[in-house]
Amino acid sequence: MTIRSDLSATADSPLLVARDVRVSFPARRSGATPARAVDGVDLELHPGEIVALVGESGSGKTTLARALLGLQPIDQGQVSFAGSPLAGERAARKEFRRRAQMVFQDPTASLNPRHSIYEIVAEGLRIHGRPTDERQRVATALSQCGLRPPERFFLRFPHELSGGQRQRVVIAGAVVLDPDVLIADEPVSSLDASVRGEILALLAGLARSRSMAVLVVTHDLGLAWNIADRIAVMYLGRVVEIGPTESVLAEPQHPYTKALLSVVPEHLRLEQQILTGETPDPSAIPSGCRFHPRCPVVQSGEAERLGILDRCRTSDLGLADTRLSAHRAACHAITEFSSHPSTRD
Amino acid sequence: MLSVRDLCVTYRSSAGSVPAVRGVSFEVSRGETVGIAGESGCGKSSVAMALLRLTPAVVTGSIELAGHDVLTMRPGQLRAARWAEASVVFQGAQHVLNPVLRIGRQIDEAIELHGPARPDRVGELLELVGLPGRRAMAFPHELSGGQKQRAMIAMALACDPELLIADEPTTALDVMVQAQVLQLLDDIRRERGLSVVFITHDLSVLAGIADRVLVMYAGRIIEEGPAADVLATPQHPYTAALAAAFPTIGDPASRHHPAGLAGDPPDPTALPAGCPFEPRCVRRILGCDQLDVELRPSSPGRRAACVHVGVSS
Repeated sequence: MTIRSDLSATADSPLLVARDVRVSFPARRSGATPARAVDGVDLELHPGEIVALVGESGSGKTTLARALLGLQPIDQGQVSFAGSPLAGERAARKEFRRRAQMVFQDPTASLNPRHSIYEIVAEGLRIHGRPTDERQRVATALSQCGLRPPERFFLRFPHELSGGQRQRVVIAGAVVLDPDVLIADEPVSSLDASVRGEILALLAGLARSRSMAVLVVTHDLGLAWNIADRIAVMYLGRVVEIGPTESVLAEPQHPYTKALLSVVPEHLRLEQQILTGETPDPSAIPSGCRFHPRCPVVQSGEAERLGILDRCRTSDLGLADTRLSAHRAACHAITEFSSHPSTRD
Repeated sequence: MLSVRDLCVTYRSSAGSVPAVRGVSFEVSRGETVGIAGESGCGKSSVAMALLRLTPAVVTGSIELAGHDVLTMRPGQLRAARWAEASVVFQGAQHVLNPVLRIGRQIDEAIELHGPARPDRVGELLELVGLPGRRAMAFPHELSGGQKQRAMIAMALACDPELLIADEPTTALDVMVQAQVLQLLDDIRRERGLSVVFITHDLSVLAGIADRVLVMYAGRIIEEGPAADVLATPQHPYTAALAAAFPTIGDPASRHHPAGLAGDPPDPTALPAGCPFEPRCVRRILGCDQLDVELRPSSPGRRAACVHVGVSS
């Protein structure tokens, strides 16, 4: 129990903190440039909040999620949990692995088909020291995850359950360890529309009732609107915009976020702005602002009118404050706006 | 263009026959896009596969494609109708394309089945879907997900069909790539006057592209009407639940309130006696578990199969 008290944090200080995290993967051929999957990310997770990490495939969001859990070695930067860096002593690392849990995208692939539901949920408990009340804890976790009565599910196998029930079992396997952080990678993208809302409600309920910090990795902005307190938008290894959900979705500041939002079918208010091409290759990140080759502000000539085109092409930039509270974005057009507010009014 | 009457699709299994589609009728006019929506197991893909007799199941009813009944065609006629009159864009392009053949070769195969090979045709088709013609030499693994789906669309257009059946063509794709593929399909439809049957579990996708929407549940159509109307004011409680599952961003009602639908669709081998949606319905009333309501007109151009329709309003 000494470890627990060492690691515990006060309620409003962040629980999990990433500082300038960088992860690169070596190129397959020798001599080629490595892929910079995560290229300098700062992120904080507070107890009881839900953060949506949004981006397209190849934006590095899954790699970042894995790095936050210590599942992916990082090249530079630091991840710390409750004030101590992850790479600590052995006992602290084991305690961290209990307190931070992950839920993967495809429940069918994350469940061992030859284990009963009871064994699946109890497995984590057994790894982290066999409690005497194992049966009671498994039952509580299943019932918290909406599988009631829990005893009815003990002896069943994954193939006997529906997709939504399987994802509930995966979440129960994480919740049974009483974690402080839950990272869910696309938890509903393989599920039916009707099941989607129920799993999201479950995650939101768990975050509130147990004051758990939840990071949901997703490409679905509607999901973020449903449950997230904050949104971080990722593009080519960087967070390009971050802020409270209402603020980011109602007043997106970065042109990439605006484009993403305009193609969400549930959001027909904006004129569609379909970007050409796909997320570029992380082994050849463009110079300057990494979004400039696809940026509508550059393509429409707006950047030239604002006199920032050169900087868009040559000067890389990090997140900066916008006029909205707690809302930051990495765009030269906005930096220009906030330093010379009179030029736009 | 396409007229389907009382279509039934029944799978035979060791446990007896499984009725996946139970009497579905609809029409698709020239140049029209009809969307079919529903969750997994509602029978929407079975309808798609039955349209070209691509399923091992027993299919009854009638399917008239450009004036000919698909169900009574001889094998030669059917082969001619597939690709040239109607073709299918399947979901999950990576599982449909042959991994050891170049993209161009796979598109050529379809062309050669229907006439002499034309060396420049493949390049033309790839350009049409927004891929450079030289990508014909690429193997499927060298293309991204969106590019593979474009190649699938090129293949489906190889023999100038009049009807395109798209079965969840964008489900596995990112939002931005999904928007690109949807726009491509819509452009091609406009340019060529194609008819499209678009199958999806995501009702919101249909808002931008479909003229009419059919919503299926337990093997039947439970609501149909113009796409914009059905999405804006769903009349069947199931359609309402499906529409609410994908929130409108900016709508305060859905903020912090993810909407789901409890329960599972009924087992097709053990359907309830009354309305098949009754066990999950939030608006069920006394008698719903006994009375199975047929599709009935609700307002001009719209029909729904619910006891509340045409009575309460």
